[in-house]
Amino acid sequence: MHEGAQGYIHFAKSREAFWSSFAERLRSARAAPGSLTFDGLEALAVDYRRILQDHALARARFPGSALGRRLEALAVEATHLLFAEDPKERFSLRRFFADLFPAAMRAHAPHMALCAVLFVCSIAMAFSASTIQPSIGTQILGPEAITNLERGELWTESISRVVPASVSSSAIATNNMSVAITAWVGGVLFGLGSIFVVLNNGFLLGAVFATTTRFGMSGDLFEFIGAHGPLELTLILVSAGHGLAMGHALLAPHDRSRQAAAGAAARRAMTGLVGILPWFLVLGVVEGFVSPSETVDPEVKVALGAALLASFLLVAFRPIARGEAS
Amino acid sequence: MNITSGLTLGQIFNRAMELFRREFARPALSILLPLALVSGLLSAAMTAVQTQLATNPGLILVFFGALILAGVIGVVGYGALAHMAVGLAAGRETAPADSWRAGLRFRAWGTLMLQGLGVGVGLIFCLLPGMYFGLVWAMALPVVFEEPTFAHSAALSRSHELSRFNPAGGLGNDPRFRIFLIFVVTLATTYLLMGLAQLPLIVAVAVETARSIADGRRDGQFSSFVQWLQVPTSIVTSFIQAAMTLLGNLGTAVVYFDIRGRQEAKDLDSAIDALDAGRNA
Repeated sequence: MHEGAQGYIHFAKSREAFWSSFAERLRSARAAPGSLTFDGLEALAVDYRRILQDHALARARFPGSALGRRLEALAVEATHLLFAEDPKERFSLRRFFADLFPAAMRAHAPHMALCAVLFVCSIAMAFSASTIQPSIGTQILGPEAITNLERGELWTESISRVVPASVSSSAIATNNMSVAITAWVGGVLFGLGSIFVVLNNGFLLGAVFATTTRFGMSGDLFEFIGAHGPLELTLILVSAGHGLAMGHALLAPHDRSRQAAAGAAARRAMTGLVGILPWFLVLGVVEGFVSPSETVDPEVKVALGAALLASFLLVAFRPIARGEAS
Repeated sequence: MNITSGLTLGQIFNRAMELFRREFARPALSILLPLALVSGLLSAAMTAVQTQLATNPGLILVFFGALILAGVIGVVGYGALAHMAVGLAAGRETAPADSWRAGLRFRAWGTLMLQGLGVGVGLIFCLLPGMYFGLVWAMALPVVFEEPTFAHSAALSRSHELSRFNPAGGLGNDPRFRIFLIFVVTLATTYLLMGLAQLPLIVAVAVETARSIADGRRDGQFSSFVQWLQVPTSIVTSFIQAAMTLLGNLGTAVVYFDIRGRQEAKDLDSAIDALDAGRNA
């Protein structure tokens, strides 16, 4: 018989009992991890190193053999069991929304408040300017929307008639997300991009309200945005606030290096952004199906808008453990 | 590296960024620029239709011709970008001509079309299904280029299988979540760079709007200068978009090789090396 084949048989026979025992113990440990004793775990960990050595040996001396593949499978299975992370340390959806997201929100709350103040000022300024100079609204909304308003019809009605609600819902959610991401990433330009998005959106909203007021249709506009508007605007301000916090860290890193301060702010801002993105999906459905609906009462729309905003604020600013907050 | 959870997100981003910076010049002229120019051609055709259709009805044919050309070159070009990203992530010297050839193959563009169709249909149904399909099928093209037995729907299935490989458990180790974060970061960078590239157009539009308001005009029309300024802006933004697609593809390819390495036990090499190092110490 060939010497290599003899070596193969000898290796398999001499180690078979150990491999079978290891495989059996591994199977039991995976089936019922709670039943594993400390001694059993220690023995598995020691034997795992022997399995790795055997696998290395089989791979080097008998490449491509069935024995090598069997040892490889055993080693992979044991690796996945022994190197598993502590579930408490694991990054989970629950931990994200229970601790990490609220911590990021609290850390950047002052920047969000500043964005809210700028937004309100921008609305007030645009409302006044558009009331004095109506062509501002005309330029923003376009001649077609103005013609609709003259007929007593909001431009939103024609959109909801032409596009199916599920499609408009997707388009709305995508558009809102892109505004939020732009506001967020604009913070990299020392906060200027975030401020621009806030002021621009405030200006547009103020001008649009002034124009609809001029045509006596501000009530209809309030009714249309009642269900989705409060949360949508809040989310855009939140994302801009996170962006502004990144810009602030770049401008004023205090006693840390600029890179360290910006890195920490960016991580928190990323957590904040990922935390608000799912809400845009909910808003897309509301804006696509509920807001344009004529069968839903205005009071219901307003109540839904308030409930959505309250739900978000409860999740975003829920109390958190001291360790996570720091 | 933890051999059950694989590369960390930071390592994935760093590796993708390093490859992008080091190899950017290679696809810039040969793949990214043609994609940008085709997009510019489409933009020019659209502007021509908007401004001169009344005097020249034949322009509509030019527009549809440009649309078809942009569609074909776009699909093949994005396949070529994916091929280049997979090659670079695998540490191979990848010539742009090889990538274009790979993009031309039916198995590549057919898979890309099928993937696009599935994601598109999913997006119509309130976005979420489309986003999910996009995440689980993100590795379809790396599968097509690296595992020749898979193509089209089989590649989508294989990508779906790889995207669920998470022996360590936890959201942070889930390939779908990692690909989602790569997508968000790439998208955010795209918006930032595109916003900067569009600044001249934004300023021109703002100036014209201010003038219209001052004149009391209400036609809402912009001058032909502003309309034609959209053409170079479109070329630059398309270039940025394609470049960021390459960055996203590199990140996805790094995730793909990380998963395959762990699934096929290549990670054991590192465990064995660690064992040897411990014994030698």
